[in-house]
Amino acid sequence: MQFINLNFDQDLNARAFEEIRPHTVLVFPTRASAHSARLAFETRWALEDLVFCSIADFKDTLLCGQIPFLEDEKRLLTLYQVLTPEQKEYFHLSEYSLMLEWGQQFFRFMQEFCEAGYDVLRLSDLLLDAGLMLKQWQEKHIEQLSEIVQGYHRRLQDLGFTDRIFEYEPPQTPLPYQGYRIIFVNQYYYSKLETSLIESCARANEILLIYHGASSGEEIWPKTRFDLSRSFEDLVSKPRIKIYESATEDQHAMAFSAMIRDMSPGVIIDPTFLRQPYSSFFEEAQSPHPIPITQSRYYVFLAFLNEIVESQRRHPGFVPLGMMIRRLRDPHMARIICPGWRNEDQVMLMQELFGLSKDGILYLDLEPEDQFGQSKSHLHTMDLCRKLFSLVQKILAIRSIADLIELSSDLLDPQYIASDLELSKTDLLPKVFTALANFGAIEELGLVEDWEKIFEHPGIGIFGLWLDFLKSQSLRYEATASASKWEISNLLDSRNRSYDYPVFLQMVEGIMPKSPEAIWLLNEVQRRHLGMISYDDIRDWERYYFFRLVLCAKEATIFCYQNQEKNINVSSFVGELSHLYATQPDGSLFYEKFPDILFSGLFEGKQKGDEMALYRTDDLSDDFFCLPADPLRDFGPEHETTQSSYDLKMLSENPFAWYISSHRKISPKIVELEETISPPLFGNLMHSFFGEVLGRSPSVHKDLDSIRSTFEDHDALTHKLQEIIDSPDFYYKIPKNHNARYLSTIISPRLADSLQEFYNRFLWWQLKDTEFRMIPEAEYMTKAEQQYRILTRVSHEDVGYVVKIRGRADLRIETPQKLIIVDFKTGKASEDQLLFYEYFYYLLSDISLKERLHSFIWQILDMSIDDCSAKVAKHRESYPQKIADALQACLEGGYMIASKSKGKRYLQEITRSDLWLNKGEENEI
Amino acid sequence: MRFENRIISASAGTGKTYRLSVEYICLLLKYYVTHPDFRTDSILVITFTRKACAEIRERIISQMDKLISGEDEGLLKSIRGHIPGDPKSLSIDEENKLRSARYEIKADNRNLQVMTIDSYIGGIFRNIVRPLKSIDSYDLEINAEMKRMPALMQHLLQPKLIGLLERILSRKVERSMDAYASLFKGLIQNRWIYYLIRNCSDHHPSAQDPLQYDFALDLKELIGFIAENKKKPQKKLLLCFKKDFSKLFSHDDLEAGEIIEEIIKMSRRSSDAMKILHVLQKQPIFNKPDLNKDMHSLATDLQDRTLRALGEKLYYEFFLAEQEEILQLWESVLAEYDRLLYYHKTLNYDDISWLTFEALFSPDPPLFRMEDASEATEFYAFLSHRSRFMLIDEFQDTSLLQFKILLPIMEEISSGYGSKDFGGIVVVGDEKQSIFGWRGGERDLLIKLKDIIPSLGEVKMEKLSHSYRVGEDMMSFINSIFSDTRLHEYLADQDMAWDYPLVKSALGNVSGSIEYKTMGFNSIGGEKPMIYQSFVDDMLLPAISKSKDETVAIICRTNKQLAQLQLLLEDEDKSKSPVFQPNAPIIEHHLVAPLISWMRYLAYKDYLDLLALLRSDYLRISSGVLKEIVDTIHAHESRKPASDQELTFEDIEVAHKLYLLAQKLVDSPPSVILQETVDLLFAQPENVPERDYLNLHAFIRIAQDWELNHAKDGLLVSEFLDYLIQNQEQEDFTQVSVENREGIELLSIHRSKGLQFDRVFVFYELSSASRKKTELYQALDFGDSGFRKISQYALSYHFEQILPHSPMADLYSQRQRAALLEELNNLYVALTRAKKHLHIFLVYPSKKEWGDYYEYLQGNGSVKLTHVMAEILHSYFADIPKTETGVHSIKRDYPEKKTDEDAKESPKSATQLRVARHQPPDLAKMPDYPLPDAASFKELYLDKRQALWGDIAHFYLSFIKRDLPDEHSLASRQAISRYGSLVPKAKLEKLFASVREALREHSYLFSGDYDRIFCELEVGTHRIDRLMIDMRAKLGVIVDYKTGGIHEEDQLEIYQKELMKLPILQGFSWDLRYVMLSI
Repeated sequence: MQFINLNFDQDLNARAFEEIRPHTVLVFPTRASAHSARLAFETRWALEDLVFCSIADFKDTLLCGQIPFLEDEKRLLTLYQVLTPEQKEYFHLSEYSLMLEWGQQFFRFMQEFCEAGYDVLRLSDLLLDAGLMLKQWQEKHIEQLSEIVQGYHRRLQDLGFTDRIFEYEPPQTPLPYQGYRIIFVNQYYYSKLETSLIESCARANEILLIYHGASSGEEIWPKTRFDLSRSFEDLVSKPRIKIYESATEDQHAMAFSAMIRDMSPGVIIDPTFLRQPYSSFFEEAQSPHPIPITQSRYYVFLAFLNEIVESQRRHPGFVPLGMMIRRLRDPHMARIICPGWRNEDQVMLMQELFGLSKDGILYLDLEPEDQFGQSKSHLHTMDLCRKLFSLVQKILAIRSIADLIELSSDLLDPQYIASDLELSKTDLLPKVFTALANFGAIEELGLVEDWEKIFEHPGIGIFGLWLDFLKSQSLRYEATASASKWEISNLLDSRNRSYDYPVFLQMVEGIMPKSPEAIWLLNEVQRRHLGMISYDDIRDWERYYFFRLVLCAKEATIFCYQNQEKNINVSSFVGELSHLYATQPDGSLFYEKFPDILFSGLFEGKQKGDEMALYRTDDLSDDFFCLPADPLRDFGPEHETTQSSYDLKMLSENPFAWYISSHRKISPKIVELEETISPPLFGNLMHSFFGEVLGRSPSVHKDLDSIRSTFEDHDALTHKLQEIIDSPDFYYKIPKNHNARYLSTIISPRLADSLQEFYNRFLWWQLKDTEFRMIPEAEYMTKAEQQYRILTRVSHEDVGYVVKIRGRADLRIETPQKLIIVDFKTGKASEDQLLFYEYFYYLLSDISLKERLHSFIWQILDMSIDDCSAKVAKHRESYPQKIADALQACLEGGYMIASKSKGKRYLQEITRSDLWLNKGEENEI
Repeated sequence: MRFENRIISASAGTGKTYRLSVEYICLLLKYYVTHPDFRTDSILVITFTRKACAEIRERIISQMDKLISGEDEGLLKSIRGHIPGDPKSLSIDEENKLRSARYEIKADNRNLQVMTIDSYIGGIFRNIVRPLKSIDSYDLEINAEMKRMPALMQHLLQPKLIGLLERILSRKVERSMDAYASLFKGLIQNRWIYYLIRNCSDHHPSAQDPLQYDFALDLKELIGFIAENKKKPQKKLLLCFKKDFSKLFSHDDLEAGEIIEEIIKMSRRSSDAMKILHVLQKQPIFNKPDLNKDMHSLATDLQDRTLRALGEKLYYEFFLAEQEEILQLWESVLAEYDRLLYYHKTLNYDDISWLTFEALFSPDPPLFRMEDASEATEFYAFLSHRSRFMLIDEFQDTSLLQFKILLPIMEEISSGYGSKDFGGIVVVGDEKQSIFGWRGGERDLLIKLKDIIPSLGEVKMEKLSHSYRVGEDMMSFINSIFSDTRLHEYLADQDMAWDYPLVKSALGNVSGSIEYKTMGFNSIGGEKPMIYQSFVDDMLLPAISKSKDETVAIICRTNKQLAQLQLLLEDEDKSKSPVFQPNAPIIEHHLVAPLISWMRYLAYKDYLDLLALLRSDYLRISSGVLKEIVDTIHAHESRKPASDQELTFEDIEVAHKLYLLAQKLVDSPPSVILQETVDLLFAQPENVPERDYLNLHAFIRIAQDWELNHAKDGLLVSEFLDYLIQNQEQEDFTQVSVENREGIELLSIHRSKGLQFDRVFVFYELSSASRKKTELYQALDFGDSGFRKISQYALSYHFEQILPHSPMADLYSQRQRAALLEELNNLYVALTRAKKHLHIFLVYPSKKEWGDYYEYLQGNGSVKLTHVMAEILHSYFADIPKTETGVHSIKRDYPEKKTDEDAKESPKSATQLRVARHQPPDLAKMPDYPLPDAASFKELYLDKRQALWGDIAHFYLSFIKRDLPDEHSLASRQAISRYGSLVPKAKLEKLFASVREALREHSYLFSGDYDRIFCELEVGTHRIDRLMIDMRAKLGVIVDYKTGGIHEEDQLEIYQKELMKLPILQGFSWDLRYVMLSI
């Protein structure tokens, strides 16, 4: 073996080319460096037998045998199948999805172990290595892992495969290269396996190792020790260095973007560039990138299906409505399912779905007929769900990849799903079908015995696995834009390359040099002991390639940032570089703390805001906070408004918001449907329960005996509640998660208790000696009760306006002496609501009934009664007038925003009561 | 010589950072080079916030630089206080040491070990605990436990646990299981306490313990006494009681015996018993006028006895039973939580600390055996081998859990022995600034540290006595308030210790001011908004209108108060400086929230969202136009049957323009939507603060980041909105600000800790925050000073009120006292943040004048510590004249001194900044993709896989130059190796055989005429299947293998052109051949 050391001044490739003979292999650290070297050499090629390759390809050529290697998810699946239940438990791998990362770490470790020249099948030998000073848990882990590796190996042998982790030494068979000159061009780190391969090549070939930069010490094989200061001193001409330090990541990118136009295009070294939002600052560095397949309509549709399919794990048979709205909002989704649909159908579908969400529906049934039956108001939903869910059922029924392939050739055929543009302008079809064929190889190679041993639900599992398999693909297209003049690279890819004017971004500690990666099984000390690659090796390696790039340049520009708030520090490499230049003449290193660039600059010069400014009101006078009234138009030909108790509350507290929400009935569209028991749902449930127990229609009773039995049987009460929960009214509104079980196990008996207590603590005391008529809330209403009733009248400019009301009290009881109104609550009670009922049922007909009126609130969960009669009586007289005054004020002065703080919360982002508050007026009454 | 460990008590502003950096440099000068085992990274500095880390790091570096360059005499003087030597300069040896150490630090940041305690423990977790627990990777997520909550709840509802759960929860039923999330969260966050109770407690009270008092007897005596001594014998007995008491009964016609019987009956039901307790603890239960006057005190005594007896009874009957239930539930919650943790792999800091502790100490599972001395020592040797000196900042905020993890390391290195023969500890803290008790911060650790760690030996106790933050006037004020005898007398009375050492100002006279205003409000009448208004109008605005180039902060106790104030202050007319809460979510920013509304409108056609955009600060359309739009929407929505057409607003210009924009953007990625919308709508009035641009940019950045890194399928705006909802509480989703350049920061006291501002407004409301009813109550007493054992504990979910009247009353009051001291510390922290100007606005819940109110509190014995503090403040300003608006003001002006901080660089305008937009490729404008001419892609790529077969055949052929057996053998091996995981080996071998067979028809390819043969030859950017050269004849044959299925024409001509560029092949003639191989 021959070693050649070059100064950074010397051209590495040129020197390597000098060594080329008729049969030569040149091995580079990367394919990119091999490729660029080959291009550079091309014109000098004299038809020698030459190979330009990367070290990885070189190894592959040397290590291949007669048995195929298993790779990627195929090895993961195989590995998962050899794990015993105990091993799964030990490593917390209760399902395959948890295996993905663990498996990758496993293979990575084994690969590194093998690279360090060890036989993974003898992993347990580590237990005998006293120098490792293993902890007890490590010993246990090693024992387990050793068994797993053995099992995996046996399984592979049975299947006729092998794995690269078993290739830890040069093969016994003759090497493909005999009599060649093999030149290794500046690789900084060689693993033990690589060194043995090279040494083994040396028996039949001539080996040359070229190293760029000064090396410290005598020993340069296999590890190189980079001597930075000597390398620097050896340089005849030192590169100029410019370092710009900013305050944040964005500022450092903006500093560069402010300068890029004055720079000659070169290379940007930034390992994060393509993942960075700031990459959009650099028009000059934009290249046409492939489109991730995840952004294609085909994939999005599959992901939609997958989300439905996945939801079946949590609640089989039910599909979350919120998710459906979110996904179907994309009209293309609906059109894939219902190809004949027009825009109008999409509009109607969304209306139907939002209608359901407004009604508190949380789920769609996987059997749409069960949910909608013959409903005419859900035709679009029905049409779509029938087709969509039938497809979902087919996916759920998948039992093998062959089933999936069949489905993908039929209902899931990309040719039907993908957009026309995707089909004609990209390679989607070849990509998908090739991927499917490769995916199918899992079964063709006989790697999976039984999918049910891998996935509890094979349909869900296989479909999810397919999407996982597919998602790393990207689509190619014929780009029209020219490639960027700037090359985007990183320390890994730029190895052995040289640039005159490299620009470095992200020169901060943790990125360059990068932070250590999480250790697995062995710590750094132990890894070093075994000769496995350690963090120190990686850091040395990065340091070498960084300084090589810098010192081989004419001028290097470095952007870094320092942020106290986040404890981000400038890269140590920058510190070392500035130290290196400390003794150099002024001007050779320029260090500037770059002043912050104002972010306003990002928005300047491109807004067309002036056009829209025409509509803007800068004068925040009272008018801004008041919707102008036009009573004749606002209240229609009947000059009336029909109101609920809640509406009236809003009218008196915030007329502005009232006009929009209550009067004009513009309501929000709810997409984020929480799977919980919301206050309205709970209220409705209880009302139904109480109504069901108390009877659907008014009933007259001589005494309490006639209703006692209704309250006595606790089991019957609980059973009744369960019936209500399961009834069509609530079936799709009750969350199908823990809350449902909580409802049936903990709430149900409590509500039954509450009813019993209602009888004992309330009804008994109120009705023990009297006959009574009980009128529960129910669909039943008398004709009179179905009509809106006029609560109050207001006159404005000789026109009379009326406020009509209608409502339903939870329970009324009429005795010869008393008229009792009961409202059932779980939280804060509103007396206004009781007043509202008093007027609607009694006082609007006969004001003198007020003497007999008593209003109560039964706190269902606390099981206590609040007698609100006195409080209600206090406001009784003024109630209609209060509403009339509020309306009168609107008619006369418009619909003002809230005058008191409690009303400000209504539609604040539209009323802008936040700005009103700031006016500093004495608006608190 | 053994290092002298130190505990340094540092009051606010006394230069902790400076001192720590001096300690650091002294250690370097003492040990670097001198001791062969010492390295720069032998010193570990631990602090609490990332910002403090960065500050200390920067201070150490800058001070080393200053010492090396001989710039700072004061600094050298400080050093000489610890290291003897020339007071004027460093020795050459010292300078060399510093230079060399400085280089090491510069060249490798890891040599300067400064980290937060969270990241230190995180490091132990990551490197030691995580691998042993087999957690391959994890994400840090602040709300990790809440994300696991549904699964946890599902588990708790299994039949085995349902009974237990029902017993606990049914005492106060909520409408959904979700409402108990904070209970379960508390159990998870405090799992450390569960550990202590189960493993370190010998306190095991039992419901079977004999009772000391007899409730029935005492009750009988009390009721009987009142019955006997009522003034009017004929008056119904219950009417002689206060309403609260009589309301316990369903009717008022009860005799004494019936009352007693009823109460005893009620006391067996927990909910009723709690009502009785509640009534009894109110003084007194009887109507005084109905009882003979001389009997009042006897009746009150009897009531007290009854209450005590009831308290005892309830403690044993209900409290203990529930406590045991809670412990059982706790165990199940934790077991399941751990299982879920392995499943979800998202952890928060509490999880990390706990898992670290558990792995190190817990007997179960014994993955790492602390009881095995050799293993334990080895582990801590590993940790303390590198770090031999620890400088710990803000020690009073260390939680017990964190401390327990650190303790063995501290013990080893403070002893100066162990894996290396040198080491030591410097602890800096201030018990007066301990305000994190609610998250486990333990003030007593600092106070008792010397006793807890005997290895500290003759530890040196120091107090920093000079403030570098404030001038003499401010210092005198703070000293006066916190050393006031009324405060210390009160503390002594309550058996509380709170030491306040006087601090001197090191700055001398500094211009500044102190203002004070107090204001009462009627807590029932909803007058609070007026309080905020008064604070703004009377105190804040007058002060900031005169100030410029100052850093300003408003400090409040609660986030709710901050939100109120922010709302008030965001009026640009009033406050020239923008106001911001550093912690506020970005989605609430006034320029961001409307964009979210807009995206919601685009996604779902939610008209309220459209209206929100129209009225937002982008457009602020007039109410007239708004009404027109509202009416139009109403007309459209109320059509019967429902319209199947979208509403286009054609008659309303502004809305129609937005509709058109929506049409254009509806399918665009979020970042494009945001950029185009901002372009169109953001008119940028002149006074837009830079912070607004910053937040606008930050939000667009979130969208871009989502598109680049997080979007799982598609770039639809609805998915982005979902992403925002899922992540809104993450750290990256908080608003950003331009640090120290503009605006008023609104901060909670906790967040203000460690910070300082030129001007500080303290808005302090005198009403203590109460525990949320849905949280677990816990009180612990450690029997020893080392926090090793629990001598008493109490846990409750419903019965906390029993505790003060129970045998555990002391434990209860001990916890109350701790809370009060923490409140005092809160006040101390708040009042010591100002450098020059301090404004105190004190609010109390009464319409009375402060003096009367205080007297009233004294009268009924309800004076609390904070009241005493308010009284002290009030009397301090009593003689200072007040303005018309009621503000007392002390103001001093002295000639200004220039400080280094004044020289700040002004930001660069970025008009030259030209930002490109990253637009996704527009496929419509692209040419068609050159797809192979195939009838069926499915057949080509999936069924017959012709493309793959072709690839394999080409690959195989790339090894075949001369058709030699060795070549075929190598080709076969290589192809199997490469394609064996896609195609069964047997099929591959069959393919190879057919290739070999096919080659027989093309034997001319292997004719001896060609002296050079290249396969898969790369030329330029092309790859040629086969090139055969006859050097003598100067002939080249270019071969392209065709394996059927896919044909690309004209390839050979292109290859020929490429080859003809090569100098060596000049003058060659060419033969181009397609070779059809039937495989």
